[in-house]
Formats: sequence, C-alpha cells, structure tokens
Amino acid sequence: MNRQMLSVLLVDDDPAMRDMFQMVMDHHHIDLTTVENAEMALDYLASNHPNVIILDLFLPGLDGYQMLRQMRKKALAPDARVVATTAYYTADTEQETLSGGFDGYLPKPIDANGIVPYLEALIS
Amino acid sequence: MTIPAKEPLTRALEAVPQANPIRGILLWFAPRSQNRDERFRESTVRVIIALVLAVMSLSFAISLFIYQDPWGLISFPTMNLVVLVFVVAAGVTVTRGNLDLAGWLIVIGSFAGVTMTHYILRSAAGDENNSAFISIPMFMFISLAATVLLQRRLIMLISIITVLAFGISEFLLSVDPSQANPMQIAGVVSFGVLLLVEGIILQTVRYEFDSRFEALDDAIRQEELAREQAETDRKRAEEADKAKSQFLANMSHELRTPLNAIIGYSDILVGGMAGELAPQPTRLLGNIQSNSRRLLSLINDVLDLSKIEAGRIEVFNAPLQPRKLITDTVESLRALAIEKSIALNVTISDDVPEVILSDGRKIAQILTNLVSNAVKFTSKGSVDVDVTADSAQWHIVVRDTGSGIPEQAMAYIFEPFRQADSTDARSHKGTGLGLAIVKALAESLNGEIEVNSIPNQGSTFRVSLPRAIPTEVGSVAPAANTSEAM
Repeated sequence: MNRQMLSVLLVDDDPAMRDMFQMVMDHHHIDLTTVENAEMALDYLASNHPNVIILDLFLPGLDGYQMLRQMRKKALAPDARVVATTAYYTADTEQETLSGGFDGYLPKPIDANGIVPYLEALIS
Repeated sequence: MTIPAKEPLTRALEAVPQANPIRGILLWFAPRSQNRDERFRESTVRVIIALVLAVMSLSFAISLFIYQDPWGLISFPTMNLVVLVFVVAAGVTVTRGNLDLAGWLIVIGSFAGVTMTHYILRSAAGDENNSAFISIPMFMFISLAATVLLQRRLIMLISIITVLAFGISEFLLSVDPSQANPMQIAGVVSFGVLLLVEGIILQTVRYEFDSRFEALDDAIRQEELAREQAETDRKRAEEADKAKSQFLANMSHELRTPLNAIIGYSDILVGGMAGELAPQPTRLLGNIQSNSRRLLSLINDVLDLSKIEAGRIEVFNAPLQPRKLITDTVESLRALAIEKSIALNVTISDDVPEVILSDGRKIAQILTNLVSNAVKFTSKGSVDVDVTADSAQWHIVVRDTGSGIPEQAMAYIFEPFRQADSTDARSHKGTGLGLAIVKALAESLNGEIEVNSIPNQGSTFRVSLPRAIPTEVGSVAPAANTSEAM
C-alpha cells in the first residue's frame, strides 16, 4: 500500500505524544488526526474511516479497552487496524493487548524512526 | 475453637440427607457447648440419657408383662418409673442448656434405682450375703459414671453419697445387728470401704486425665495462636508486596511518559524530521538517546523484577521452535558483539526437539540477558551459545572468555542489585538486575540455572528447561494459555 493512502488516528492524552506523531507523519506526508480522549475519537470515527487507529490504553474517561469495545459494538471503522500504545506496561502487556483484540502493540517510548515502517507493515 | 478430629456424630450427620427426620434426632446429640471439656461431658450426658431411657423402658415392660412383678412402693416397676422420670427430667434440662443439673439428675436417678434394686434383692433373697454382690457393682458403676457426668470436684462427694446410700439400703432391711453374724457386718463395712477407695481412685484418675487434657488443650490453643499470627504476618507481607509492586508499576509509567518525549524528540531531531542538523548537535543528541535508552532499560528491569518478586509472573506456554527462537534472539544481539570485536557463535545440537511447549518471550529474555551480559564482561575472545538436549531437559549454555566471576561473588551473583565486582558496576553500566531476572524467569518455566566460572578465563551459564513436547506438534498456539507460576 502506498504511504499516501495511510490515514491514521492517534488517541492519546499526552500532548508531547500527539506533537511528535504530528511531526513524524508530516515528515512522511501521512494523513494524521490526533484527539485526546476516547469520546472525541468515537465522534470522529462516526464520519471518518482511518485505516490505522493508535490507541493509548490509559485515557481519561473511557480507557483503550473500553473504547475498542465501543468501536466494535457500534461497528465504527471495522476495517481499521487498531494498535495499542502505553507507557504502563510489563513484559506481559503485549500478549494481553493482542489477545484483548488489538492488532498491534507499540510500547512507549515509541521509536520515531520505526513508526512508519511499522504502520506500513501493519496494513499491507 | 475448632475440634481437630472429626467427631463420629459429624460424620453421621454428613451421611444423612437434610430433609430426613433422623437428622433432627441426631442433631439433638450434638453438644452445644463451645468449651472442649464441656463438649465431651455434654455429649456423654446426652448419650447416657438416651441409653438409660431405652434400657429402663425395656426393663419396665419386661418386669410388668413378662415377670408380672407386683406393684409396690419399692418394686421393680416403680424403680423403673422413678429412674425414667429422672432421666426424662435430665433430658429436658440438658436441652435447656443446664448441663450440671442434668448430670445430677441422672446420678440421683441412678442412686434411687440402685438403692431400690439393692433393697428388693436383699429382702427377697434368702442368702443375704450373695445378693450384695449383685448390687455392689451397680453402686460402683454410679461413681464411675459420675466421673464423666459431673464436674471433677464432685466425684468424691458422689462416692460418699454412694457409701451412704449403700448403708441406708442396708439399714432399711432392718436386720437386727445383734442377730447378724460378724461375717455379714464385716462384709457390709468392707463394701463401704471399697466404695470409698473407688471414689478416691476415680477422682485421682479424673484429675490426671483433666490436667493432661488441659495441657493438650493449651498446646492446641498455642498452636492455633501461632498459626493465626503467621497468617496475619503473611497477609500483611503480601499486602506490602502488592503495594510495592503497584507503586513500582505506577512509577515506571510516570517515568516512561516523559522519557517517551525525550527519546521521541531526539529521534525526530536525529532522523532529520525537523530539518538537517550539524554534526556536533547530532553527536550530542546521540548521547542523549543512548542514555535515555539506558534509563528505560533500568526502569523496565526494575518493574520486571518487582513483578517477578511479587510472584505475579505469568507464563504463556505455546508451541515454539527453539532453533528459530535461539538463532533470531542471538542475531538481534550481534551488533553488541561486533561493536566490541568479539565473536558470537551459536551451535544447536541435533537432539534439540523441533517444537517445544514453553514461553518464547521468557526464553528470549533469558538469552538476551545472558548474552548481553557475556558480551559486556568480555573484552576479547568469544561468546558461544550452545543448545543441547537430553531426555528430560534442554539446555542453553552461554560461555564467554571474559573476566570471570570471583569465588566470593558466586554466592550472590543471582541476587538483585549485586554485581560480581561492585567497582565494576559503573564501567559496565549494568543495572545489576539481569541475572536475578534470568533466574526468576528460568524458575517460572520450571527450569534452573547454574554457573561455573574461572576468574580471567571466563564464565559459563547453563539454563536447563523441561523438555515439554506439545501433544499436537505444529498445532496453532493458543492465544493466551495462561498458567500461574511461582
């Protein structure tokens, strides 16, 4: 898949994370929308269809798992790949997120140089 | 207080269904008292009431309908009725919870019965001496019964009453002492003495019995107290452990969030995503990057270890290919060896099974820690990874030609925050947690680790893991086959 066809939604309450993602995605000319909580993300998904959603697990209000359930229930962005990201993890978190319904796992700190290849591999 | 051994009644009750009316009768026999000593006395009283009730009813029926004994103030049917009245009264009393009175009622009822029987037998018999032999055991039996029916301090009193009752029944016979032969008087007196001696013996035995019982009771109570204390201590320690793990988990989250920004922004700068940089700032940023990554691995190790120490490590067993896992893991570490110009070799024996049931991530972590450790402590030569297998286990052996581990350090090499040479800690930039984590991980996989080392020649770490072959070779790994370990 072509890089320009990637459209990404980042749901994270950390402003630095949103800012960094914006810089990386701008550099690679990838379409990115950032929101800071699950409610805003659900609103956005009602009328938009990104093909990758990067979802922080610990959000104010609905957390990442709850948001994923809501999305599935309301059949929002059914084709999108959903990637869990978190700074709150142990050695077992990857296993837990993957068996919890996520398509990918990006522990923080994220690797700014590795994100784009990772996302491309994820949707191809 | 709990009763250690299961009482026969408890077993009987378990066998009877809830709705069965027999259950109600059985339940009546269960002692209500909480005190150990009293429970014993109470169940004896309840059982004796039931027994006497049955025997006396039968005896009453036999004396009336079979022997057709004549009614009279002192006769067998009357005697049976008197005993029955006392025993029924005792039954009512014990049901109402007055154990002492119930015991007394049984004893007094028995006295009345035995005294009357003695009198009847003595007056009916021509040979007066012989009939005394029949009633004497009955008098003695009352003293014996009193030892379990009444409090111990009353036993001597009962014996004296027994002697008196015996005397009175003899007196009631209105034998003229002047006409009695000396043998007869001697017999009566010696029976009285016999009853008194019996009382003394019974009381001594009961005191001895009780004091042993109390000692036992005390020991049990002490043991229970100790057990409760241990339980409380364990719970408290567990809570503290949980709190510690939770604190560390929260801490690492709080630390990783700013670290994410530091690492992320320096990656962006170094990657030229915010414009080209001059060589000098790039070099400085590289230092920021490598140091923040070190900080990150420290945070990760602390968290892993705290989770391991709290016993909350989870094992995800799945079929895996050990050859591929080992080769891939070692390859990912090759850059470290190249950087230090040392060889990194992998040899996998043909005995190693193609597929093994285990937790691949944990094995990879064990190998990563061991190999990066070996590389860290080796300045020239090689690091060799040998994988072998026997019928029960498979072994991952990591051998280096490094500085080795001093003799005195072998004892604590697997303890957290300890390195073989503490002055080395800075130059080797380690957290001192790697081997502690390796050991805990190996144990979580039911494996073990051992180390051999010769200073200045090198060290050999050998991890042995169970050779668990999945039942369906090549089957799809279950998503989350969790099992609690440690």
